[in-house]
Amino acid sequence: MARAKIVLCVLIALASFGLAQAQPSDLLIYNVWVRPTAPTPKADATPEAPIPGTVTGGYLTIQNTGSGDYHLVGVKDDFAEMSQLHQTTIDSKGVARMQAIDALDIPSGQTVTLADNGYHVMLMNVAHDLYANQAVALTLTFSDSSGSSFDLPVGALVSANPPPADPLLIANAVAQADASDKSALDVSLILDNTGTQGDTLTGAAADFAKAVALMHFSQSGAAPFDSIYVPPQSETVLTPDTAFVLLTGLSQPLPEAFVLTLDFQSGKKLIVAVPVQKAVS
Amino acid sequence: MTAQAKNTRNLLIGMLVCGVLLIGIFATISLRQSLSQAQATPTPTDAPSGVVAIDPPKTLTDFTLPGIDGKPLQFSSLRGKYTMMFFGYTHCPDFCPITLTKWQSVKQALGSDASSVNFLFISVDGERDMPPVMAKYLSNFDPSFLGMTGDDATLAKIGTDYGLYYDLHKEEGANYSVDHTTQEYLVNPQGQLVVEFDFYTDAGVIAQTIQSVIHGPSE
Repeated sequence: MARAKIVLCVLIALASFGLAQAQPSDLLIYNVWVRPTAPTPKADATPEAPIPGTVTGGYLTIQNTGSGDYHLVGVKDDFAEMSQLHQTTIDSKGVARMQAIDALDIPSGQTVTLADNGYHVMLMNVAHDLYANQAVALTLTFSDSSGSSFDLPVGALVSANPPPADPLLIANAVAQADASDKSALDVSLILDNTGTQGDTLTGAAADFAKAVALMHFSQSGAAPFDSIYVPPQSETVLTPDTAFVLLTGLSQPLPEAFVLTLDFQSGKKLIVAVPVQKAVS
Repeated sequence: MTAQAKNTRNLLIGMLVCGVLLIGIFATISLRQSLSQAQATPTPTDAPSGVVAIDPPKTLTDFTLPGIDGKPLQFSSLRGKYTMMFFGYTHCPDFCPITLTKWQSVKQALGSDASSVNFLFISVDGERDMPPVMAKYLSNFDPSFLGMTGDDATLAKIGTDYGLYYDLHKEEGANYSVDHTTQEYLVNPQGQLVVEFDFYTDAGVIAQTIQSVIHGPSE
C-alpha cells in the first residue's frame, strides 16, 4: 500500500506537471481557421481523394497576457504530411515570396495574428480534403523564455474567409472526457469579451452530440443551468470545475475536432472549432 | 473488482481530482490577469490605392495554353468580354486564394455586369498545375473561373506585357514555393491591357473600376 501511495504521488506530480503545461494561463488562442482544399461534395457524393501535394494555409491569433515571452516553434496535426510556419512578403514590385521560419515570437503583452499576407501555418500534402465548416485539430508547440517547450491543442474552422470580427472572442476551447461519464465530453473555453456590452450565453449545439447542456459544478456535483453572463471587458473561464459545456449522446467514433455553436441572448451565434483531447492512457 | 483494479481506479480518481483542482487554480490565475491589447500584426494598410490605368491601352501578345479541360485555350478567343487576369500557382497558400476569394466578391459586386467579364487564373507552375489540378482548385472558388496551365516558353513570350516575374524554388523539394508577381490585370474586349491592380486593391474598388471602364466614369 505504501508503494501504491508513492506511485500515486509520482503520478499526481507527473499529471499536474503535464496539466500545468497543457493549460498555460498566459496564452489566449482564438480565430483559428484553415482554408478549404475543395468544394463541399454533395450529400450523396463520395468524397474524392485530394490531389497529391494539395496544400493549404492555417491562420490564428495568439495573445500573450503573461509577463514572459513565448515563441511558436511548431505545428503538428494528423491530416497533413508536413506542417511548417511560413512568412510571406510582397516587395515594392508586387512580387510575393514565402519562406519557412523556425519560430514566431509572441512577446509579453502582445497579440500576434497569423493572417493573410504575413504569417501562416503551411499544411502540405493533406491526407483528406478540407471542406468549409468542418473542424480540424492542430497542436501548437510553444517554447517559453526558459527554453522548455509545451504543446497546446487547438481546433481550426475550415473556412474560405477569416472569421468575422466580433468583440466576443472564444479562446482555448478544448473538449475532454467527462470525469464521471466517459462517454460524454466536457468543453472548456474562455469567453474573452473585449466589447463594451455584456452578453449572456444561453445554449450551445454540436451536430455530433444529441444533447448539449451548460453545466455548473458545485460541491454537490455538476448540475445543468440556464445561462451564464459574460460581462464586458473581462474573461469568463469555463472549465470542468466551474462551469462548462457538457456534450452527451455522441456519435462514434469521436471526431478529432468539432464545430460548437454558442447561442447568446443578444441573438448572436458564435462558432468555434473544438479539438477533442485523447484520453490520457 | 480485484484489489489491483480497485487500486488502479483509486489512482485514476486521485489523478482526476488533482487535475481538476490544478486546472481550477490555473484558470483562476488566468482570470485575474489583466489584458494588454498591443498589436503586432503585420498589415498592409499603408499600401497605395493600387489602381494603374494603362493609357493608351496596351496591345497584348496572343498565346495558347491548356485550359482546365486540358484542351488548348487561345487568349484571343476570350475577346468580346473583359478579362481579369492573375498569375499564380495552386500550391500557394496565401496570395492566390486571397485573390480568387476576392474575385468571388468582385463578381458579386458586378451584378449583371459580371456576365461581361471573364476571370482567368494562369499558373506559372505548369509542372504541378496540370489541367485536372487547376480544375479542382478553381472549382473551390467559382465554377466559371477560367484557368490555364502555363509553360516557361509561353510565359517568357508574354511576360514582358505584364511585367511578370516568377521563380520556382525547386531546391526546396517537392513542396517548393514559387515567388511571383501578384498584380491583377483588366483586359478589354479588344484584348488590350487597360488597368493593372496591385494585390492590396479591394474587391469593391476593382468592381467599381471595371464598371467605370465598361460604362464610362459615373457623374
